[in-house]
Amino acid sequence: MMRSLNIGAGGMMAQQTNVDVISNNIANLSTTGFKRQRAAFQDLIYQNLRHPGATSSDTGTVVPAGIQLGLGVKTSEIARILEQGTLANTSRPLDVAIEGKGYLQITLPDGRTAYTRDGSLSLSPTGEIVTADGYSVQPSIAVPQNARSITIDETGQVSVQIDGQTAPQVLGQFQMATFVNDAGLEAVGRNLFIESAASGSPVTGVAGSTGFGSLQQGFLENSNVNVVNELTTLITAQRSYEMNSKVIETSDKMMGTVSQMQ
Amino acid sequence: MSNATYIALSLQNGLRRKLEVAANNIANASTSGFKGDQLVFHELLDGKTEKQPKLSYVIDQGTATDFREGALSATNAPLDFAIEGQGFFAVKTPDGIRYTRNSQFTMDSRGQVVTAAGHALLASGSPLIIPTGAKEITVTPEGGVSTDLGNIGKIDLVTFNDPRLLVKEGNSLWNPPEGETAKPTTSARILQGMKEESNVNTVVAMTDLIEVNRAYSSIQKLMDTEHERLRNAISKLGKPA
Repeated sequence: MMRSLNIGAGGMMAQQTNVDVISNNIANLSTTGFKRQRAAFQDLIYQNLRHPGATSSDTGTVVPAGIQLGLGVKTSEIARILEQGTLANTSRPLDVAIEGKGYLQITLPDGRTAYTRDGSLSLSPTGEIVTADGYSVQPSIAVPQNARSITIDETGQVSVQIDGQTAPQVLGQFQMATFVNDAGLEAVGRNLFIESAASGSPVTGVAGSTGFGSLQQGFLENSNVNVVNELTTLITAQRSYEMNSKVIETSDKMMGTVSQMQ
Repeated sequence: MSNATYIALSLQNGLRRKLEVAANNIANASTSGFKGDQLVFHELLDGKTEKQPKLSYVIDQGTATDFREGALSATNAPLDFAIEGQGFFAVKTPDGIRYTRNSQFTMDSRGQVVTAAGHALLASGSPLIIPTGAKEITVTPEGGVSTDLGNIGKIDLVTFNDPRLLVKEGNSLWNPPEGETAKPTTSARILQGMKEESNVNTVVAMTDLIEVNRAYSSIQKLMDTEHERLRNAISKLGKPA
């Protein structure tokens, strides 16, 4: 069988993955705190039909290049690009954007901790600060019913103004988490990530301290997807897909030629 | 007897390899730091005696890697390092030190800068580690790496006397043969936030495909004609008088 058929098919599959990743990026163009991904590729192993440096005569001359036939391409990783997204002003008191490194810690219904950069928070029926899915933010902070305005400062300290009181009342402070390698966090959907073997263990601390980003109340972090970039990559991916299909076509024609031999 | 057929066969074999090389180039048109290959053909003369005409076969002598630089594209990813000029990164693999021009690095759970396959990038011979809590990573064109917490090392950039001798190993890695040692270079520069694209010229690769296909069918024509000639010869000359 011809190697070129498999190489072409492998190339098409790799470009398909590329298009899949790009389409997910474009689909999440308006997702708060979304970090774009990109597919990266590596060449497959080479068959050394003639090793470079092999002796080519009795007098000791060597082959300068040899014959190395590559066997195609593979997707090596789909990496997350953790560039800061732009901040959009929403003026909503429970919207917080993280400027810099770090994640808010969320308690999942099964008790595990998830991490997010989506700070569009709300209040639960009991007054607790929760995410859009109703999962509570760690540490759990409950806002009393008679609170007039909520202030979240840069360090994540939540305070409220209560009717009849002059001094604001401090309710608690959000705990942030950072990771040695946040690109290695496992995405579980709903803008949430969970710890993985690649990310390392979380390091917790307060916003604004060394190594942690600060919080901005009334802002949301936009997705960091760059449409122009995505569309140009999409064009390249589509053309590469097409060219790989031409490889298959050529291999097929050549095999057709062979099968018509008498 | 049927020398013409054998000569044609030698070309057909070569063309199939050429297609495979072109296919691999096209498949890796999106592989960062990939260097395209070309098959080099060579004439093989055969003729034992004075009276016999010399026969010219074709053999594929070798694959030559085109080491020209690929285009650079901006990615803004802090761990994308493109090399401008002739040079390679050194990475640590379980089989020893290998060399790469793939620009896309990531971090592992220990803070080491690694390739997509998890091989650590070497700085002054040891893995480059980004300290916990570092926010900004800056790489100078000379390879010096610093974060907001201070300097952390200098990325090794190396070259070889004859890069053509390097053996491609897959995973974007090159392995130097024995006797070929890496030596530090100062002529190459590192560009942070940039990615070196594959240097495969897809237009050339596509024309290669067409050329291979056409050459293959025309040599097949020759074989068919030769076949026909032989059949005629047998049927006419072999007819009992």
